[in-house]
Amino acid sequence: MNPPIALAPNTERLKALAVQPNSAELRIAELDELLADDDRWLGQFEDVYEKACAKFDEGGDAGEVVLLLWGTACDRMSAYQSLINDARTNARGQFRRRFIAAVTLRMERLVELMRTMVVVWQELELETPDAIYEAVWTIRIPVVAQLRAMWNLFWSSILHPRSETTIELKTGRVLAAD
Amino acid sequence: MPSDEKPEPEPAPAEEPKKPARTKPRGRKAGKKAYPVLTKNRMFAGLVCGVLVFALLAFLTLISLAFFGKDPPTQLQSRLADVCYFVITATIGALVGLVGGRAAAPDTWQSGEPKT
Repeated sequence: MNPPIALAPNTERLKALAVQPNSAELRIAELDELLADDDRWLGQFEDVYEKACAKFDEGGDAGEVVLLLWGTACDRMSAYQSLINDARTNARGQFRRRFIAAVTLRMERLVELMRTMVVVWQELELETPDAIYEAVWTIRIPVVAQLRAMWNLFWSSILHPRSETTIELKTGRVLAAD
Repeated sequence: MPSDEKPEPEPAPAEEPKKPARTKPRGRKAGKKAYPVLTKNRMFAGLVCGVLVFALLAFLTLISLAFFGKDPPTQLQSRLADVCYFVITATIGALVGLVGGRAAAPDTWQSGEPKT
């Protein structure tokens, strides 16, 4: 008999996958679900951030950090351990390869999360690990957002040269004008 | 003669100073995101307006020369038209560089609610 599986709450996709207990898809989908749940991660801010920093400082790669955080966020280290054991003992290595590939793809979510933590809790003066410093503080600005920000800059410079205008660069929108 | 001295107990190892407990803001600011922002100030606006004024003046001068200049133009008018052409080319490039460069360089990161 298969052991019961703890699912992320109210997720139709996970419920559908639950018919295949212990499958790699379920594990990857669960990891996805957890990484997408910012509130849950930010709610455990201290554990998540400090453990991630420590792991990076030890020389761990992004995959290891995500796995560690997954164990933290799950609040079920047994699930994390069983996942690692599965990956280690998988004879054909198919699950391991797929899981590592899936984890690596989640790097973007991880750096976004860490960046959010540093910015939201500025008063704590968190340090960014050297290993991901560049990844955390380098952003990709879409072309449309860049053009929109250019237009807003130009237009507000002409219409309101004496005011201060704050523009958000990821969308190019004006946030505030004083 | 057996000694009655008892061995002195080993001193307890000094405890490492603990790090001061950090205030845990659990869940307090959940749901926020970090956004790169820039602030347009008076200096930048003045710069853009100045460059734009140069471009417009050069353009107006060129139009004036076209309507009111002699035919064939004098040497001075030809020279003025060349200068206007250069100013227009330079200022348009400067405007694109100024505004485009500024829009690609965030001043700081700001936290806020996720936007849809």
